Amino acid sequence: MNRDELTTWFRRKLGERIAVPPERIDLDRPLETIGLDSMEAVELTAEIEAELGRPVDPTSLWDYPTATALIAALCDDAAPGAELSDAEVDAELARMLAREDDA
Amino acid sequence: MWLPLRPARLRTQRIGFALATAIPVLGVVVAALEIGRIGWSWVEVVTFGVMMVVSGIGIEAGFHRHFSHRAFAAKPWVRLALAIAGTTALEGPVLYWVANHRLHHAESDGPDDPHSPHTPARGRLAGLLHAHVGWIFGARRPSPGRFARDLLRDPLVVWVSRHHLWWVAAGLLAPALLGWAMTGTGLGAWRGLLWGGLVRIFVAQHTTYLVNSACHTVGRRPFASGDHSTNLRILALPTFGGSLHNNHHAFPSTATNDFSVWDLDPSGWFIRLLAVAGLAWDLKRPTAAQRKRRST
Ligand SMILES: [Zn+2]
Ligand SMILES: [Zn+2]
Repeated sequence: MNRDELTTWFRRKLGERIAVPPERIDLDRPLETIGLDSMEAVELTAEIEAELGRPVDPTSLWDYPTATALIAALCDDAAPGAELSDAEVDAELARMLAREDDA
Repeated sequence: MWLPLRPARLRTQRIGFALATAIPVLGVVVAALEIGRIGWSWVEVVTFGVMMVVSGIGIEAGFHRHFSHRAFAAKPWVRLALAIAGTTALEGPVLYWVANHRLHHAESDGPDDPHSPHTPARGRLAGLLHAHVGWIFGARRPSPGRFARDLLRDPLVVWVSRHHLWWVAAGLLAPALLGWAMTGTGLGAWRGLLWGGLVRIFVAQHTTYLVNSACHTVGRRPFASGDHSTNLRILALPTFGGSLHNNHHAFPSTATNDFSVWDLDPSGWFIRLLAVAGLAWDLKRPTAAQRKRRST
């Protein structure tokens, strides 16, 4: 699937979810602000996986600043992976949880 | 920190939350009428007891101490079992539960706490009601990317969350089967469904909700925790140790909440048992010196 096809697919899928015509979806807006909740993001990731036929990290929807950036990364295997590594996510969480213990 | 929900999605969710809250209440009413009409049998006691332990341990040891606070590590199948067991309590998918709960700790009793009874704009009673059950119907959700990113990367958690209604259904079916196995009758299955299913969900939900409402309002505060959290020992058994909530807010990552012989902590007992069996490890717990430093 090339970038244009994936972009069209993405517009259609997001459009269905948030009940907006595909052409009015702003792919340069942060994905998070489109208003998907955690379960919808997980479902959308599963749909992307099915469409591409390979595993996609559910955090991808948060790791890339916009849908455009995510699509670019999904189309280009050479593109850098998710913004944060597992170790970085762990470190971030450890900081969040530890702050409470020291408070 | 917060994400707004689209109006259409919010509407659907509110209907789901309303049903998840109201149907167990209806179950309690029907169950009470039935007891008055035909008396009680062991089916109610056994199915309620068994399923209460499953969902209570699932919520407090699983959703709360393991998934929200990483208070201990465990074998993958134990984590799977805890995630499924907690889901049967019908308090939402583990991803949703954890994101709300971590935000609760980050902002405890502040303006961004999802369920604080202490909101100046509300009166005392309205605040308690909001913290108990009203907050569920609010229009915003904590950002999962910020508060549950580790779990979004955990395929086990994502899988259990995606199919959370399966597990809720399994939590209704299991006690019905147990009731049928005990009596060989349809009536036994029905009473198992009623008591081990709906009445048990009602009790599981509202014991958790009491931790959010009562345990931020009345009770003892042995530790300086920077919020209004309290220990309510009278609720320790039904909340599986969750009501030792001031202990918990003072030391959120502790795997065991019993800091005195009067602190009954069934989840802590269960986690220690897992550790003895080699199924859990890295149990966190504050030292006596750390506890002393924080005591009031
Ligand atoms: Zn609390
Ligand atoms: Zn907690």
